[in-house]
Amino acid sequence: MKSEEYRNTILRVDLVRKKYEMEEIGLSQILKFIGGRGLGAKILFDEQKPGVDPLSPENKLIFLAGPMIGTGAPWAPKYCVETKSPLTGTILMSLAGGFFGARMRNTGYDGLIIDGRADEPVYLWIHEGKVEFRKAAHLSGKMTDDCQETIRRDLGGDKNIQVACIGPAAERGVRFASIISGCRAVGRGGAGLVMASKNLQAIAVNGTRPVPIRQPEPFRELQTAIRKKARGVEKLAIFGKYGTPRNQLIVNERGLFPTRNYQAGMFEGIQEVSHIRQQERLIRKTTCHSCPVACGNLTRARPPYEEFETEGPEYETFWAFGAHCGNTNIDAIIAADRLCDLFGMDTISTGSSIGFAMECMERGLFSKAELGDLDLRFGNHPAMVEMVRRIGNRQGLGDLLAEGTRRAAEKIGGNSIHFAMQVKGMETPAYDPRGAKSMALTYATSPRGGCHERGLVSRETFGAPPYIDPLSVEGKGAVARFCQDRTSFIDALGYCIFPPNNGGMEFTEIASLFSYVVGVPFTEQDLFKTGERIWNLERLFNFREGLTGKDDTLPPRLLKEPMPAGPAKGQVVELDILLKDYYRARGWDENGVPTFGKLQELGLEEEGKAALSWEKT
Amino acid sequence: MGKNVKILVQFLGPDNRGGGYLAEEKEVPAGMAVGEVVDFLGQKYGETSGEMQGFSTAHKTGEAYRVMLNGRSLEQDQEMNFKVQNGDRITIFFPIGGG
Repeated sequence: MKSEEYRNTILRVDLVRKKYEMEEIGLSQILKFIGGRGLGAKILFDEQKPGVDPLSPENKLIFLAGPMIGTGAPWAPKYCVETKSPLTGTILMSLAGGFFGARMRNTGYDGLIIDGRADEPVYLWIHEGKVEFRKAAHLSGKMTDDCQETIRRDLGGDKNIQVACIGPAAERGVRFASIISGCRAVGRGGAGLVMASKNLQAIAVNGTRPVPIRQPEPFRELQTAIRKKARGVEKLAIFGKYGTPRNQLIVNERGLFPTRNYQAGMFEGIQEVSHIRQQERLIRKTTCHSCPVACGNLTRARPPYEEFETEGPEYETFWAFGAHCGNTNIDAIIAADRLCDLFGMDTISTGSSIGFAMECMERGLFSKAELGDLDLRFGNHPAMVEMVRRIGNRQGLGDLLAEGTRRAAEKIGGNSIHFAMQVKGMETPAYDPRGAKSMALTYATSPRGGCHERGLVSRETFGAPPYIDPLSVEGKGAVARFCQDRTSFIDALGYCIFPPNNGGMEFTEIASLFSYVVGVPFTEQDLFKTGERIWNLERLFNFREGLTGKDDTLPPRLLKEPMPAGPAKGQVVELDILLKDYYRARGWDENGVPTFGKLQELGLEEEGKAALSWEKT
Repeated sequence: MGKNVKILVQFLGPDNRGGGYLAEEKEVPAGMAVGEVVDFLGQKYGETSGEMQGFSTAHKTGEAYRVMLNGRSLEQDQEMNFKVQNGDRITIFFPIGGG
């Protein structure tokens, strides 16, 4: 490796022997997979045998910060965690904003590959290139805010220390337990539980080392120009002012806001849980590292939930504890959001599981003994908030719901699987695909399960231009593919998806910034090709784990129950037609298997040989 | 005097007041096209209503705002094809991505 070439420095951590070593990832890999999500998928694919139990020591836990993080580029705070999910059994990549990713890079390390299981609870303290394994028994049982503060105090109280930790939910085995840093969550899919299974309570980082940029002058010029231009972009200004919750009103008006566990697409109580009510409770705006938009909202609940103050809620959380549970009390949503952060749990899966349980209760599928003292009906917000606690503590019915809706439905029986709103085991979020057919494809084909972020189609969900008919199935394969590939490279770089989606940056500008960082020309086409490569590699990982095209599906409710009212009235998801179009757009065969030709085009032939039976291709 | 119809107009714009959201029932002449209603509102309220400020100009340039009729998006060239009826909902909004 030439000394002047751009590279990443990765820390390999062996929790069994409590040892670590550095290694470098060279430019050729970075140009092929960029970093973050892409590099994480490659490392996991290469180093992890198929069939590993997600809660075994053999399941790797990988933290990666993409190449834009910490450079001063605007809107690049998002580090990722890559592992095999204990909720779905698929590849899992989850992102979080905040400040942890940049601070990790300031230690001199661009990522951590964590192996094994410590023989006692530990936390890692990484600072200015040094790594310490510190005892963590005293952190057990602490809520995540207390855990972070205790660690900072243990380490001398420096407020610059960033901590990513688990909470009681992970320690108790909640399958969708998250990793929390500040108030930001590596939310979906149970990365927190993987961390708990390794006896790793937290990772603390601090440092001042600069992040490498091969061509700093043109980089600074361009990113300064981007920041200046962005000040005049009205979309970004609106987004910064209200954040994601504003879109509840739009999505609801479009009739695709899942209500009462996807029994309807419009929530009659939307005004009471909208961004307007949130603004009435605003304490101050918050932001992530290097972001001038500051879309976060620190809000305080009113009685009877006045003890709760939260950074958020965001759109998905508003939905999960609002329309999805039939709840019109915004203060209860703030409380539920905060409790999820404190326990360390994904808000989408938590709220979704509760909404599912509400429908089960109303259908008489629970016994009195199972319900205990809770009247878990739609709209009963005290019961909803209490259930968040019980899931976090795995108490009573919470113990069942902590397994996720797929496993819960398998135990409950009585046709509950029909309305367990999950794909591959991950609960589906806040867009009803009966009203947005490209989103149906993203949910069905997302490598980590029912996820919107892997390929959000703003044109369908929010009515962004250019116009698209959300109910049509024509040409949706190409639409979904474009959004998925775009999100893949955005994630790999470490960017937040929202500013590029709101006129903050052009793809050519993103490519140029990356070129200046690595010192090698990189075009917009290269970005999309890399995004496509990442998507295909994640699919190969899943296929090697035994998934097939048959797992590209949706809950029966969405396939068979027509939307009862609203702009999408009468609609179901015509998944067969959509998938056929999508597989063709992807260059896969009719079973959804990447062809040899496609893999050759992407430079993934070896991965294809490892994952696929070539007769199929 | 021609018959009027009552419609609900929702406006989601950039302004500070009320979360940038305005919702009012309006009476408009029967047979008005959606596009005509939007122009009518822009002229009547666009420069005086905090929530709708600047809407009139911005909509004419076609750059920023979008229109939904009963939750269905309309392209600008479709706005003249649909006549409003009693009980219709017209939503004029500034789309942003995020959620």
